[in-house]
Amino acid sequence: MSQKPIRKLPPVALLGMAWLVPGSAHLFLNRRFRAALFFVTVGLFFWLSMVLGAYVVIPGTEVYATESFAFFKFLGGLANGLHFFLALIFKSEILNYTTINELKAVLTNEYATTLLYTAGIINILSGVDAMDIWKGKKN
Amino acid sequence: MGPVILGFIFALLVSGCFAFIERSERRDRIRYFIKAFVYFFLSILILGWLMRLLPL
Repeated sequence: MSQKPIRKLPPVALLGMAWLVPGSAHLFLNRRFRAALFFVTVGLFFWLSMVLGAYVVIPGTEVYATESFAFFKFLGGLANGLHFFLALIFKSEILNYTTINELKAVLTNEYATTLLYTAGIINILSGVDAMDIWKGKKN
Repeated sequence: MGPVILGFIFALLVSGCFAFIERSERRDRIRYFIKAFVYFFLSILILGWLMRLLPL
């Protein structure tokens, strides 16, 4: 039998919360272990991908114009929520790579890209899971 | 960080997330986690080993 959520929010706000800070919606619904798991997984995958040489694609840049499936890559990055925006601000300060070609030449770039988009998908799935809990379909 | 360790962390965390998303009961969840982890990690090892044979 499904357990009733303790607190309620409008669904759009819950989805926004889940997207922006991974695991926050589960924490709000009192699912602490699940919240920690999603927070750690998305955060670890995203920042590991940044360290291993992934790059985010943003509309209006030179990379966006030359990259294949650029819009989907942008969405994949954006799915990571706050991490995506933090990466835009701090990535150049963390890493020494200056050009996109340098990043593509890094040996671990393929691993990094896999981790980046997996983190985005997990974040979206965690939002869907939070919605199911909110509706009472899951415990 | 070696690719095997990276694959292990990937398989471990993704299996954990999938187990929580896909299964509601504790017992089912543990079984699903173990099964998904073994499939993920074995796939990584086998495909990684096979790709070594490719002339890349």
